[in-house]
Amino acid sequence: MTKRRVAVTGIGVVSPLGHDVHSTWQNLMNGDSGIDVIKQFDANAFPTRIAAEVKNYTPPLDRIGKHKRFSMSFTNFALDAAIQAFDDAGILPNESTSKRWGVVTGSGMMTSEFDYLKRFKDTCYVDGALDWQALQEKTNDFYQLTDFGKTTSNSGLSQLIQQFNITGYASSVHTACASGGQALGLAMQVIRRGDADFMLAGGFDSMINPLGLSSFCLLGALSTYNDEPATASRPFDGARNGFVLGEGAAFLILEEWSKAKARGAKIYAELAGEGNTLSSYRITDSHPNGDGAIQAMEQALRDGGIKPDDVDYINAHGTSTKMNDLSETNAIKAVFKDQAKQMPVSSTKSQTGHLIAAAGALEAVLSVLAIKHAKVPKTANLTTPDPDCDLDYVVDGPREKSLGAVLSNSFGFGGSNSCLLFKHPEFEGADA
Amino acid sequence: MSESNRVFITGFSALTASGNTADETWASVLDGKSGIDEIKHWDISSWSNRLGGELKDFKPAKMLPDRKLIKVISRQDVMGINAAMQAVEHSQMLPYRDTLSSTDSFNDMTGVYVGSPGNKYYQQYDFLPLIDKSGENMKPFAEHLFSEVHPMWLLRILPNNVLAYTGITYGFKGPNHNITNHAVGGMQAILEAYHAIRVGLISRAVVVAYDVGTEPQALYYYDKLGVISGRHLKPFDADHDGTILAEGAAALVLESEESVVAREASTYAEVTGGFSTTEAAGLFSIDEDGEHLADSISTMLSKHDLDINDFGMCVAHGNGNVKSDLTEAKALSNVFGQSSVPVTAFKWSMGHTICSSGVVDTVMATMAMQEKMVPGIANFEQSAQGCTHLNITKEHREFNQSKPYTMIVNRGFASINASVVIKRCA
Repeated sequence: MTKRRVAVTGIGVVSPLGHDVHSTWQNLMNGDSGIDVIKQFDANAFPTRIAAEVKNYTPPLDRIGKHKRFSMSFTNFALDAAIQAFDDAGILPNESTSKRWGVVTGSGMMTSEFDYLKRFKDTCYVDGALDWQALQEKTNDFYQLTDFGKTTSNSGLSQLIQQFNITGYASSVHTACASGGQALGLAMQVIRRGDADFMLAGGFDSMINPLGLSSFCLLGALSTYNDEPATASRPFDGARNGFVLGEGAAFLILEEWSKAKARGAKIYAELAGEGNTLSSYRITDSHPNGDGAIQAMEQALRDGGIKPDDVDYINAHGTSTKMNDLSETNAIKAVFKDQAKQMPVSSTKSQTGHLIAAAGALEAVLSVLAIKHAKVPKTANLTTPDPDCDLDYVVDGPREKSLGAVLSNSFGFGGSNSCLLFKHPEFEGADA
Repeated sequence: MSESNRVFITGFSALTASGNTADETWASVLDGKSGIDEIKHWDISSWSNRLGGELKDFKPAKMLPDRKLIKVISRQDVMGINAAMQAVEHSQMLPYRDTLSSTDSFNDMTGVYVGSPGNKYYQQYDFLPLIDKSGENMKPFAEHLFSEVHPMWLLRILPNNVLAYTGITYGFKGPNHNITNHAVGGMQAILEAYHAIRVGLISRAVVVAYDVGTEPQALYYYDKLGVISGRHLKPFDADHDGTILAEGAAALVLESEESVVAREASTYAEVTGGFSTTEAAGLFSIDEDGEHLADSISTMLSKHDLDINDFGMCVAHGNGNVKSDLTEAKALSNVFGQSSVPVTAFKWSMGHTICSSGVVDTVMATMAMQEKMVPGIANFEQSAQGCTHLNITKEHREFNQSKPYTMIVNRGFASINASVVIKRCA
């Protein structure tokens, strides 16, 4: 069976480490941390007061079209990152190609902004109960179409569609922290089956708001190293105690390989395979033995037609939670067997924080950059060995290494697992 | 990429305002009964537009595999999980799985594809007492958080709960997607499952979609958009004046031919194609001349080598909204040309279940073909101007078996259209 090949020809990022690809990569390589005390609101009384925020950010409003009125902060991240990706790829949909362009987003939970929820409460929450008559009576003060636009599940998708006049396949997926990876996998499948020749794909999210922070604090899932923000995210470290919320967006331009070649596009990498599985174990925990993640990595290898020993680097999900890091370590051991301990594995979340629905997309970009620059990012803050996490986590990195094939893992609440396989554009056999 | 596996529907379910099962919903359609009524779950009795399609006899404890789940999921999740359970039961795949010496391969090759509404407004009301107590001051907000809000709140509102619990309930571990794309989420879930089986990624899939369109805060905004009727849902009728939102869920089991043969499964229809595109008209806007929708359907037909003259039925989106009806009518007219394909719609009976509507319509279309029938639109009286060319009747008609294909059309916010084609199994 011949699969249409998929090239990565453009990338764009707004992240806690920088507002574009260059600064994000440079700061990652410099060992900088995007994590600090939360500035967007007063989080001082929360058990966790730190996060990886996008700092000092001004959206490129001059380039964002009229539909920015429905934008939340993270939608602006998405539009910005997508604009960067198109600029980088040097291509845009036009009248003759727009139907062959598609878009898939991994998007966040689209919960209401705190101020909106408070305004709603002030309007119709009376004596401990909702008074729906009051909502109608105070409609002149309360109603704004933009509120509906901002909170509609596919609002961000809609803005991307309109911003770039995409008229082909368009979809939005949400599988928590696997969303970004699954969005890219779905976009790859759409090109493979011929429903599109070009795809904009990625993820955007922010849960750094009072409700989002509350929700994870209630679960006890976040790191509480409040006094040491830069070292709070400690994937695979023996003293890890939770993940650190991040925010941002990352988008990639995917093109059918021959079309990218024909126009002389710069090809970063080939998106050559996808593993997409369910753990079917528990809502928040991955299976300690790596079940689910194992099948995802095996599927990606099979899909991309390579063997485990062809893999040169794994960009891990590595959230810095007890269970994820143990489970992922065990999954890597199960897939790579004797080679597991020689496999460079790192978690860039140690510096970027966890971008939730955007995490898989950001890490896809970082994987592609690792191939381009022949550099393996490190796992920062791993100072206390965990005897159960005993792989090569690249603590000495960044490490110079020519990379032919890279896996990028993303696992979500609910048990969805995504593993993406990227190959160097000149990976042996890639042009076969 | 070569796509070669045939894909069959081997199980289905529906929970709607018209019935708690597919059979009950189908019976309502046949009897001309509508489940649309005044919304009762929330007190909006003072509102002028207060009609909705609510499930009758909604008893979560009896609808779930484990009643303890109620504490960690939301109302719409109950519907979705129950729909998935009904469809799995209907497919009879589990007794077959029980005969296998190892279930690993079966589970790894079973996918779960979901159309999810994403988050609903009402899920955030758990924070209202806390905000009431703390105002804008984050210090008391944080201090009272643990006493005012359920510790599992985030898990309750996960948009992928139905996907997760369908997997956990049955141990299915294959590829999956949770599509949060407004009203086309369910239809796109069908499309993705179909393609995954076609290319051999999986052997079978549970496809489920669900929504609660009747929550007041959303209804309030739809009403402000001017798309809600306070009287009825009359697709393509001269008296159409808006849609009526509803809650519900529906599910399908899709299966490869090889899997069907292996377990000698009953097949109810074959999925033979589908396609989805956007008009790029805006979040709340649509292309007014219907050209994009027509082009999307025509491309789908061409892509799958289908001839419009082989279609015995078209299940239109038909949501009763004037602009949506008229543009859909224009598009269908363009696609059909001289071919007088019988057109029907089902939302008049159970209301517009938004994200689940495409799957509900596909289930009803499957049952209609099984019964060799094109159901009439019971409240249809006279075609709206601009819809007169559509071959619609109030009465039920015989499904022409020499034209074994049925097209189902689905539309959603962000001007996204999706269509699926199913073929009658003799």
